[in-house]
Amino acid sequence: MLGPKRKRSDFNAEVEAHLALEADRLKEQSMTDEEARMAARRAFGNVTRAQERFYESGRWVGWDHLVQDIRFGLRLLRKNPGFTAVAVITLALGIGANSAIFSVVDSFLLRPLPVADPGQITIFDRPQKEGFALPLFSIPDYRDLRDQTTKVFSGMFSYLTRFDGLSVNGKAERIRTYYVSGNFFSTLGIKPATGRFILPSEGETPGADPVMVLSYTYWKGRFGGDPEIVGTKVSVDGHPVTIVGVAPEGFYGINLLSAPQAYLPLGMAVYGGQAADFITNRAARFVFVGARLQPGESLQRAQAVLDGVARRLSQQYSDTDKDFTVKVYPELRARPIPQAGSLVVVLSGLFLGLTTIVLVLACVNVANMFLVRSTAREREMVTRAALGAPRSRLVRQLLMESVLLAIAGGVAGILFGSWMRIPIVRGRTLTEADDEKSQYVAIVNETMVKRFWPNQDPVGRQFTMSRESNHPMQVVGVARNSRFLGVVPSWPIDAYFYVPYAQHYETNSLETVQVRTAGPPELMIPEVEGVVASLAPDLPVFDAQTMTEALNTLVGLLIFEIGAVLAGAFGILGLTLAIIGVYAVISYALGQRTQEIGIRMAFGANSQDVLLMILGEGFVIVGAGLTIGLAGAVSAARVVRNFVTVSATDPLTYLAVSATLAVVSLLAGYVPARRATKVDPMVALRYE
Amino acid sequence: MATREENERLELLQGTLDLLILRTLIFGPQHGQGIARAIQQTSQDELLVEHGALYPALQRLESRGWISAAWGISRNNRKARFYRLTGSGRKQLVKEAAKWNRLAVAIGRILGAEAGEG
Repeated sequence: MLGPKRKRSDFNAEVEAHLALEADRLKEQSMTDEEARMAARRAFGNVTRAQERFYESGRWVGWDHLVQDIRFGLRLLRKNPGFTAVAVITLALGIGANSAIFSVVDSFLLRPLPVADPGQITIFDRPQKEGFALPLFSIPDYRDLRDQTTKVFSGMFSYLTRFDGLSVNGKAERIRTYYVSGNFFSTLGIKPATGRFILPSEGETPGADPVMVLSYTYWKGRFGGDPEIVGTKVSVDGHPVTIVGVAPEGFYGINLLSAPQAYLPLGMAVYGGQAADFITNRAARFVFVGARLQPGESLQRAQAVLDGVARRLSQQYSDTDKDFTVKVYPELRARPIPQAGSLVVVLSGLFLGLTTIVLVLACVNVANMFLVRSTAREREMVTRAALGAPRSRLVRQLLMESVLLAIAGGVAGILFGSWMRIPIVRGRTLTEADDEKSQYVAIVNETMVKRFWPNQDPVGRQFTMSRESNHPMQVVGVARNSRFLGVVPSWPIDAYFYVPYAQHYETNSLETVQVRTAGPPELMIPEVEGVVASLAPDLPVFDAQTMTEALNTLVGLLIFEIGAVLAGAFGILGLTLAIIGVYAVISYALGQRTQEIGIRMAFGANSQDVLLMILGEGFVIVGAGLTIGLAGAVSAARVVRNFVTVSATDPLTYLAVSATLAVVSLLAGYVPARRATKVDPMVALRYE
Repeated sequence: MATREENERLELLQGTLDLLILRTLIFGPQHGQGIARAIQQTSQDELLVEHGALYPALQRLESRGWISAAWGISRNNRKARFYRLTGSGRKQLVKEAAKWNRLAVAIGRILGAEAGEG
């Protein structure tokens, strides 16, 4: 095809040369200079047309038109700032909600583990004949499974997750830990960021290998990414342990919901209160088990081999392993635990469904707005078509305007989306620097601001707790009011403040210790008691996390926090979109009916009549919409009844929501209706 | 040299200009004005070629790789853009010429038969 594009000046030079050569020839036939020049031009035909055709033959005409369309579109959007703003905000809300939800769902459910060949990783379940149990195995069972399935699995690992008190230089902190089998890291096929991982030889003997591997984020956050970290002595639940390495960036263990701060050898779990025989006791089921399939091995074959081993074990150890069965799941199907139909999947599906509805609503609304505007632009289009613009060009122009809006909406939406994940609305969050030696600080919630510092900036102000009157605390940030699962939404939200635990060891001590267990709570009680009993001078307390940090970890209530915030946001979003929709549709309909309204007014209808007529019609539409919506809400409520603590069919809620919707929708119709009554009958009659 | 009145000349059939250009270039490189001249002379002034119409055709042939172009000096020392037939242009010429001859023969037969009957 064409090489580098030929310049227009080059083409023009060629035409000039042609004219000169032709004139030369004609002069030889005894024409005068002037005659020859004219004759050459005549023979050539329309020079401008030739130049135009040269330009149009170029590859970049489409590009030129695109640039023109973009310029024109931008000019138009600038000229109608109200229209642009509403369209962009509408799209931004829809896209923002989607990107926020999707990023959460993506990281929880869709993104593969950051390990080598994540598709080969499988997780085991131990299905019960009746009821539900966590997919936990005993270590002897794990060892038998591992050793007897090597032809289908290239490696099988086990781990248990716990919370431990980590103490560095006398400063204690509660961290989530993984106690892993020696082959955990090698089976996953990852490389340490620094130092080494736990070795296959470590962890077989209880308490024999006091080594620890840090997660990358914890190394960065707690130890400032100290390059000399390897060899550092710390204490875990009061026992000395040496840090030997750091896991790679982005590695979060097996489950994002229980991302650990550190990894220790499986045998070290006795430090935290695990009975010393848990390594050898076939009835002590504490570990999760996963494995890597041999390359090219199928899940079905692996399952068949596992079935055989499990059957043998249940016969051989009938006292502990009666009815022992193992089910293998691909890791992606095992989140958060290997079981069909888990809560996270249902919730994620629910919210994805909601966001889809919101996005469709947003799109329909913007389409409506374009429709409304297109009535106003009919003349422009007709004029441009009459002046010779091909229809394809007009369509392209209109499309470009939509594309520009969509881009703006998308960008704004992504900004919105990331904003939704930050619970601090003013000031800063708590950091590691807020320790007992620095200024005492606190983050307060919005209710507290309203109560104590109405209409003022609370950041920088000080307050004291009555039991710590000698320690004034400075407000460094404001947290959004939040509710958590199980709290009735109609209760007012109390004033709260969050403080760094590091600044309040003594006064808060055990009074405020809360225990949240990963497994069945009764299993944890002896463990907690053991820890409390072993409280030593270098283990003052084992939860040094700030509340905000705790809530922000995925272990904490973040998922419910996100859920609560988003569910509320969806309500407002839906209402906003409904208002925009009603406004746009009524405006559009009235634009079409200008002439009719003019005739009515010419025949004696006054503006009140017209207003009532339009509002009446709007009422019919809104009424129909509300009826359908209520029916849908009642059926949807039956589905979600299991998830919410409030009565899903509370008549007061429905009444309030319906009334609000009706009033707001009618108001949205009122504005264009008022405008319609202002129409001069003569103008309206001459319209079109 | 006497030239025919312009309205007496034949307008080119769609698609034949490309063929004529390729055919003209078989005698060696030529610039646009020379090609126009050659077509007019060879057809003994029967054909009407608007010189300006030549250039989109040259552009098209060049983009298809059937001719190549370079600036050079004309016989009377003027700068001009010279077009040269390429290998694939030569093949195209053979193909197009054969097609045109078949068409001309076929149309000639039909018209001849009609004339015979009439």
